[in-house]
Amino acid sequence: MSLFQIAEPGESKAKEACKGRVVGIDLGTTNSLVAVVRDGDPQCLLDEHGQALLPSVVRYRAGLAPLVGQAAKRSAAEAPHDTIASVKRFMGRGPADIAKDGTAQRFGQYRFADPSQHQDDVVRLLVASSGGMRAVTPLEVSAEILRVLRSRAEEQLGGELEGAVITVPAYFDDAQRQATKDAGRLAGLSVLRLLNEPTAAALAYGLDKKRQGKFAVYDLGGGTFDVSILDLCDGIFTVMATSGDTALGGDDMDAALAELLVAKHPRREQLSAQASQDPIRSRQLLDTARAVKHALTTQEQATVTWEAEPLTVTRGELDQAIAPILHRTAGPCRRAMKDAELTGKDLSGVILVGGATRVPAVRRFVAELFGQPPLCDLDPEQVVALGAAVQADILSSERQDALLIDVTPLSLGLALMGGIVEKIIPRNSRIPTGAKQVFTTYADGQTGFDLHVVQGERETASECRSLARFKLTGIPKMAAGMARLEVMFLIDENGLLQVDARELTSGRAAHIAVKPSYGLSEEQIEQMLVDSFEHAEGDLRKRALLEQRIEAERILQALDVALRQDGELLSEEEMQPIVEARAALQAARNGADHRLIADCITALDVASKEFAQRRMNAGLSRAVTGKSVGTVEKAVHFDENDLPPSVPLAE
Amino acid sequence: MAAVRASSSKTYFSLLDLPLRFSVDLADLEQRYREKSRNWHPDRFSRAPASERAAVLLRATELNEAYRTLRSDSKRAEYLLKLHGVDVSDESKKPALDPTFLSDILELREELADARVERDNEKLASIKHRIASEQKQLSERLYAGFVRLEQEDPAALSELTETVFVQRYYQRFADDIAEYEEAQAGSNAVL
Repeated sequence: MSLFQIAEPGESKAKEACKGRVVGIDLGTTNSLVAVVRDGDPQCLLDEHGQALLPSVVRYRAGLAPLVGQAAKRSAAEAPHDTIASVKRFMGRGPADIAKDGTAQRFGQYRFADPSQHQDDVVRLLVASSGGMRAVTPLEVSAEILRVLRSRAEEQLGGELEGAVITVPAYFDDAQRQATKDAGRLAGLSVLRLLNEPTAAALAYGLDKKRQGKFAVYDLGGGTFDVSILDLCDGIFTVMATSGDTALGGDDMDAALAELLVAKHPRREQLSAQASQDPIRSRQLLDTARAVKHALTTQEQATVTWEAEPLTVTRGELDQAIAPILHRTAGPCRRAMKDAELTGKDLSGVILVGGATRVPAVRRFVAELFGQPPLCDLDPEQVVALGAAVQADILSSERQDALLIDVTPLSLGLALMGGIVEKIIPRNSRIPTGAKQVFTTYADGQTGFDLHVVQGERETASECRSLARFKLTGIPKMAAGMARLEVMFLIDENGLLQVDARELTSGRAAHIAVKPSYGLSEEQIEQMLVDSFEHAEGDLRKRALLEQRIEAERILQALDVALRQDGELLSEEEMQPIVEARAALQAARNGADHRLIADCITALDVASKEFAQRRMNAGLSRAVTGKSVGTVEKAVHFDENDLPPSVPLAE
Repeated sequence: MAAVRASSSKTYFSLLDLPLRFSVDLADLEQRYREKSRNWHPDRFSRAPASERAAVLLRATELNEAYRTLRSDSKRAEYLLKLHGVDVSDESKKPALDPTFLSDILELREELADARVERDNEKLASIKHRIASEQKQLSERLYAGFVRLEQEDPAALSELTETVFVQRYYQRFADDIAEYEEAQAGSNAVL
């Protein structure tokens, strides 16, 4: 009897149980949204003021819970150091990164923590707290935003969320994705999937408009730019190629417009100097610029008063100011089209996503670039969240009308001796994808390897993005070149890297310690979970639920192995109660009631007692522990034993 | 194909229910891939037990690898040669290549370097044209070679091996040109 047949009866019940309690979340640079599928249609959930958009702004206050959203945004100028906006630009990045690309300078109003105070390579911001000041990571700031969306959803759906799909820019690298997933966990969400934003948009669009053909998604968000080429055919959404820039967006337009406003002011020198030193003024200036940008979406010219001076900006001036930003989006578009082996006339349409695409100059630019007017019949600010809700629905229900096939945006490579990168997974490979590499030892008796994994298209490791350093240990001592170490790199359906290694001559799984180049260790995340307000509220129930689910999982697995091996010991009638109890447990495991899970475990125990007895009698009770699927442990401290470099066998 | 041992064992071809042949219809391949994905994609198993999901992930990974390999002429050729016991990823197995070919390649490299320095787009276009026509010829040789291999011509295997190595030189060359062009491209060009 196959596993699948056993699984089926329980599955549908479980799906019913959690119907409607999964959501899609668009965690944006400037705004975030949460959406859900109701009666087959995705819709955004509104706050008490009827707003779908939650500004992605968090204001920390001494001794008080942080303010999130509109309230934080409105009071940003009062406390510019403590009010964090555009935190997405810092996700999964190191202090050196943001210094190098100018992000740190652009966000001069923030107090960045001294990187030498921390062992990891994670950006930290100093904000007000009851003890004076504390350092928060971008992950924690994002979690505050997610918590607000989570409680909005839980209030409106009437219960705890079963899971969430969170969207990320398609061009996000591994560290940025991991940080997003961890932020979700920290906010108490079970992250069902990380979904690429343009893919989400295409899903919402394709299902809503019942379109077929090849589409480009041009997604200019607050701080990131993505372009994806998709093929929509019979409910299968295949991403053909993707490209982008994770530090380019509407924010940059605001900054360009701010410069223009300063240049128009009679006291420009003085104000320019003041704005660069005074965070309150700089924030006011950016707010003014944004207001001008919005006004010019519908008007030919706009007049604002800034620093006691009425200033008029025409649409032509805006167009000129943002032209360099638009031109920067052309390169990724060209690359994506080339990788998809398409030209503009092969496309059935170009879908616009992101608030910044409301700017008329953007639409004109896109129309010229792709040789056709873009489609904008769905709200470009909501479409990503709507698509995420649809994907959450697909993952939690039986609906089979749509399937997404996505790609990895960046090539995965290994840094070899001399810093040369050997690409092992090319960009735009469909995920999940993997690559196996066999390595051998370099010195007699060598028991470990160092591997450096990078992401990017350049030929040297220093020009690519460092992803993680792996330390493989526990190789039996052999003469140089004798050991055969097979390392499997796997990019899963979330676009996240998994690594598994084994020594082929001894068949032993090698131990892998991962030092993520950017990002936090598992221990640090755990500690944050413990420290968080949420957890302090005593979510013992949640912990109990988690524990029962793990126990249920363990028992279900053991039973499946036993049934596969010795199922023939039972007649069909005898099998029936076990199958039923198994289905009940599976359904309970997917629910949120830990007592029910515990009861179902007991029931299954009782139902399978006879079966267990027979297996014992038949002397068939083989070890059912299952083969070890190599797990990746994340180690905080990486001891710097100088291991000899690894030598790949081929080339 | 007698030279392939254990043809009943699982290959990228059998995974997609295709015959073990070099000639592949790409539209048909895509169609087969999508049908398999409908049933094998991890999203279809999001609520399955962890043990099953791990297996599903590996199977989907394999399917994607199979698709990627079979889609490209050069990767498919390398894969088929590997099934015939010739591992062309091992550069040490490289056969002695025709000296005329090697000097041609060197000359082309020099011309490309000149074209870059002089920003001579006409020269670049002519190099590109030559590379493309060489690649076309090589591709025809691959198709013809595999037909002979399938007909059990004993000389075919070593000739194919050489063709694959030669093709790799041209591919690298074409990649370099593409990279250069990408860096050069103005932002105003229409797609």
